Amino acid sequence: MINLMNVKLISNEMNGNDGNVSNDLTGKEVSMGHRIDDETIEYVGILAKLSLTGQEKEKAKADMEKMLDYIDTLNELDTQGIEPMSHVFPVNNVFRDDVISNGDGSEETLANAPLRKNNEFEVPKTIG
Amino acid sequence: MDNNLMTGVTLGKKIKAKEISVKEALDSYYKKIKEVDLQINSYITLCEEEAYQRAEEVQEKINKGELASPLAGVPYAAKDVLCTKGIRTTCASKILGDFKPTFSATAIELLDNEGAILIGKTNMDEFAMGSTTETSYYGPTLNPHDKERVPGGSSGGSAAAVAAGECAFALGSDTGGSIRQPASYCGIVGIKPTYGTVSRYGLIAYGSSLDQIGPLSNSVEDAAIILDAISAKDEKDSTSVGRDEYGFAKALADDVKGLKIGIPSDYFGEGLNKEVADVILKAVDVLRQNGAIVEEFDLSLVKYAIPTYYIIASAEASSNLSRFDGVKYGFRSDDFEGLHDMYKKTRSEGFGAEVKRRIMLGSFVLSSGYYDAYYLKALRAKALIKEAFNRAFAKYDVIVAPGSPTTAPKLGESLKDPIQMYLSDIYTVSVNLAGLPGITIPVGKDGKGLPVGMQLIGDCYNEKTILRAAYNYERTVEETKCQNNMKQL
Repeated sequence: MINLMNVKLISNEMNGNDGNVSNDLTGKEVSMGHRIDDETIEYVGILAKLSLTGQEKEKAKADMEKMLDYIDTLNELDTQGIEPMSHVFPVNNVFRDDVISNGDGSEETLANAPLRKNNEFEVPKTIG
Repeated sequence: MDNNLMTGVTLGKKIKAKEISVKEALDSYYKKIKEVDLQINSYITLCEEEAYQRAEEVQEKINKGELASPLAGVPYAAKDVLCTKGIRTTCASKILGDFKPTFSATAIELLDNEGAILIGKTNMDEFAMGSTTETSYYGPTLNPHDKERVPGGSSGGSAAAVAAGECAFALGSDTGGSIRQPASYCGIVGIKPTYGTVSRYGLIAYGSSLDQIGPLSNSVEDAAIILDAISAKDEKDSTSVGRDEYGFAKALADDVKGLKIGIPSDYFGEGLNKEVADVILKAVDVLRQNGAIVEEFDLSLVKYAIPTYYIIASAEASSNLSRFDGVKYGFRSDDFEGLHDMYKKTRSEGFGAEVKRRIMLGSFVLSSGYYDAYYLKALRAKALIKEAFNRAFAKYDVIVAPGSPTTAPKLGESLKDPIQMYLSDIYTVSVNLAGLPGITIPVGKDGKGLPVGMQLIGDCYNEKTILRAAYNYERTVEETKCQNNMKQL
């Protein structure tokens, strides 16, 4: 089991990181021999919230190694000084007044729940 | 007269002229579905009750002259990734179970306003992840042109349903080619508009920066009219764009004189099936004879498109699919210990192999230590790909590409090697990365009788240019028109 304290999640909303994180990053600096070890696949399982059987883990390791080897083609590409492009068009936050435009749909919404109790979603006990 | 072999527009005209009632139109499509869908499995869910009820309302409005849209009364199908109020929406996944959305996607609502009638929800690759419609929890869809072959994907159910006359037209979604590639394999028209043209509200997200909704149809004119109906800025999708003008159908002038067409030599070399190349280049010749100016050029960066796409799409998917946790809707595992175990077991049992593969890849490329090397690298490669298209569109109005490197492969072939399957989208993914519009139209068949699709790519917001070229081709070469190639099963 790996230490969860060391697992730092990065959201893909980038939080303004994109300009300054890796101007120093070039293809050459990224060395990838792509052996996915048990610890990495365990870590990915935690991030992805998936529980894999032993057999599935081995398959996932092989698949990921193959895919990463293929993705490595990108390292041929010199991207030094190129700004990461998250959107092709300039997108901005769009603000509007929070005006209620729908009615109370709680019954329809809860009707989809796998398990409900009265007017709530029912989930397993979370606090000991 | 077989209603099922008409274009949507022709059917709409007959309905308006009272030659056919809306109910009769529905009858003929449901009859066709009952005859052929056990063979090809295009549909996951039919909504007959809702459709007939809606037909009465629409007929009444047509009779009163309150509804004059060319799509009024025309039966259509929607890919099961689009939310439909009160109608089961599965994304072809076990994890959504019998989920019934409490609202409809904006595109569905807009078609509803036109009086088009939803008749069912079509099969697809699970969560739109796949290129063959074989990853569906509900079993694969088969290609109406050859039932040993796939219809393409991920909008394979929509493409097969249109080609087999099981609906007048269909909606699909396209993240890396998922409208254009199946349209090519099934011999019909498919268009992915410029990113932001159609609201993504109610489209269950896969790769949000790439996803677009678009029509699959039996003619270029249908495609333009449907696109007109579903395009609009929507305050419920902050990435939707208000365009100065729409009017795609008005752009259908049968004229390509002086149109500058670029053929990327790197699209027509290694990796492209020779027969497919020959059929497409012959089609380009038709446009040349009609007055277009055709030139070869190097687009460059072609081989980087797929790796860039898979990093970005998987990263976005890993984030988007985190909402499926067994709490609010769909499937929940019945064997777990505590909350986190419930999440993990639900997701592990609820998602199929390809979806899990992409969620894991996406989680990995976004994780600390790999984020710069993979995710940011891909965003930089995307910027370069966009620049390459900008350079091309400084010289050309339209870029011609194949819809896919081959015609439809046999069932089971692609699943053996995921990377091989990913490569079937090599000519379509760049268009999503660069946010461009692309249309595929049928231009002939290979030696096995399988349809070949030609893709016309335009610069951002230039749907009209590619529609005009597609329309010109379709008008010139009568025998490749989709309705002449629809498959009688």
